[in-house]
Amino acid sequence: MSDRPPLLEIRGLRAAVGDLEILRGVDLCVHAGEIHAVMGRNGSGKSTLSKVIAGHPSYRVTAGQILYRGQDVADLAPEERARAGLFLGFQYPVEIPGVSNREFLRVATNARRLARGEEELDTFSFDDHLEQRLALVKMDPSFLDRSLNEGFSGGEKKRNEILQMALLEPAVAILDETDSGLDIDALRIVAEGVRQLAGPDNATVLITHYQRLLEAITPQYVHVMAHGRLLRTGGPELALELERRGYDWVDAEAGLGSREDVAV
Amino acid sequence: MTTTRDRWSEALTPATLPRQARDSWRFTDLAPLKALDPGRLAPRPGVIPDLPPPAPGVVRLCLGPDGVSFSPAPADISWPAGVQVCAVPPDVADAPALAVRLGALLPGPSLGLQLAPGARLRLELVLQPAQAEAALAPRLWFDLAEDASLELALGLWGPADSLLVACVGARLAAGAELLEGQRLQGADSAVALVSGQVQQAPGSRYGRTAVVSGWRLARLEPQVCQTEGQAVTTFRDLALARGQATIDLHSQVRFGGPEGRLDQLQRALVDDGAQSVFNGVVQVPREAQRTDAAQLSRHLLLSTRGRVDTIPQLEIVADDVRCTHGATVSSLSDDELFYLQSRGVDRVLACRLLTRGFCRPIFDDLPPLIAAWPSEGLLP
Ligand SMILES: Nc1ncnc2c1ncn2[C@@H]1O[C@H](COP(=O)(O)OP(=O)(O)O)[C@@H](O)[C@H]1O
Ligand SMILES: [Mg+2]
Repeated sequence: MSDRPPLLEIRGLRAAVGDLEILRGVDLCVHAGEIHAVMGRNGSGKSTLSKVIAGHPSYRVTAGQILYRGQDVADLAPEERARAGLFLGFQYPVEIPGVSNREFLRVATNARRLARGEEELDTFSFDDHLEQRLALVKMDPSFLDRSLNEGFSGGEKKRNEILQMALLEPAVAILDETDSGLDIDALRIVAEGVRQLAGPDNATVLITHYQRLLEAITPQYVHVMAHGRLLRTGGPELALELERRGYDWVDAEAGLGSREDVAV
Repeated sequence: MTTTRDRWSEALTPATLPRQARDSWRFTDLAPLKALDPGRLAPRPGVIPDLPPPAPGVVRLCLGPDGVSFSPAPADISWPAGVQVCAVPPDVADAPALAVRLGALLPGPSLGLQLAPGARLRLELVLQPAQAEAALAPRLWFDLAEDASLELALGLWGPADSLLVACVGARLAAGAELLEGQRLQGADSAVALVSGQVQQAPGSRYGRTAVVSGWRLARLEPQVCQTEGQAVTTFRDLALARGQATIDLHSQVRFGGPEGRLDQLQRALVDDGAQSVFNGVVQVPREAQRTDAAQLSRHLLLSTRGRVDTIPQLEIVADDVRCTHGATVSSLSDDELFYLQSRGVDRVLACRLLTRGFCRPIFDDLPPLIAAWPSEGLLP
């Protein structure tokens, strides 16, 4: 494995909103075939990391690099990153009134297919393709003809995210708290979807702050994020330790004191 | 003998046009109207519209070759049972709407129809002058007896430097229903003034949807009076204001008695240096208890040069009423754009999906007759 270049490599990444620095030097290396988990308290910077990787315009990268298949993505627009195979499953998927879910899924799928040198799918062949993928997330087809995420419950939104992932077949999928707000059944379906899509040629980064999802999908690496940095990396046992002991010891070990002591 | 042209030139003098300072014209510049040359404006023959043939049972009238009458002639048509051609009542000389005053000075096709109790009619009026500098002033009048029903689609196309002045009047008896769809599409130098005067008896229903796109200046002044309340009025307006267009909706609904209902939604997309004006007057006097009126105005502003003027005007005297009003002006949301982009949709297409999404609530709910007309060129 190690002779293959990483799919995603993050080096010394710092990012800010206005003058507020949120990411303070993140390093992460993800190879094909791997599943990583990023855990951490609320507010530690997990969502920011995922959005910066996807190219959200609100965040300014002030130092460091994001390399995707060895290429710096700094100059790529969010849509270019997506077409190249980076996928972000949103913690809070956005509701878009008036844009049909089905039409959106088709446009997105075709943009990715074109980028991969594949043919665009017409409405009919897309609908067939969609039906297969729909089964994976056990989503009620009636959600396809509604406005994108509008009025969807939390769980329905998350399933729709996994459906998008299944359609776009990304090389690197970053799933930001796809497990939160899900009941046990929905969690199982989402986990099953993620497991089925994970393969030797792609990689998954699961952002979560519960052990729950990791019981269904076992990551090779668990990283702990605090104060805008990945402070510790370990195996699946680290997740269990976090579940048992909380996060304060990580801060203490890193010499940061608990969160309350840190001036933000 | 004074010619149309003379009268018309007179009508366009500063003395006769509404003063800009007057409340109802405060936000709407009349310059595009004054810029038209009265000496060149004339009736122009109509073109055969580029529309699919009307559905079975639908009567379609177009602008005739003389530019001032309908074709086929209303008198020659075998109308459905209970439908009869009648005279259009003379315009009220001191009517406040500019369209009414100017329309009286201009040539134009007129059509008056009486619908007997229970009569039903589906009617399309397609007014599309073939040439620039057209002057067109359709006058329409519909008198609906008890339980009569009229579905009306009115298409007004304005070629370059043209002036279209339309007056639509209707009287709805108890149980009558008028479902009106207007589609106004004009060149970026054309001017449209459209007034509506609808009287509703208790138990009648009036639904009016207008989609306005293009124009240099388009002003719509639909006025409804629920003479004794207890009627239902629905307004749906969509303005697509681009370039230098000013699209102005001045609506007025008066409840003359109790338990009337109004459901009004106005949406406008404002791009480039365009302007949208919305003034929605709702009058609920003391006798209009238990009125239920909802008015919502939503603007999507796509350009920093665009301008929005919203002037809600709820005149509520009755105390036991439910009247709601909301007005928003927003621009495209960064988070919505990012979400679409993060799925590989490029920014231009993402903007288009979002702007179309904004228009959709009205577009998806068009009355069936105008919904059947192709919408190419209407949506961004
Ligand atoms: N767009 C933003 N503007 C201002 N502050 C932000 C923004 N995004 C994130 N933050 C702040 O950065 C910190 C990390 O947030 P986030 O990345 O959402 O954490 P997590 O996902 O780990 O809960 C929080 O204090 C949050 O308030
Ligand atoms: Mg988060």
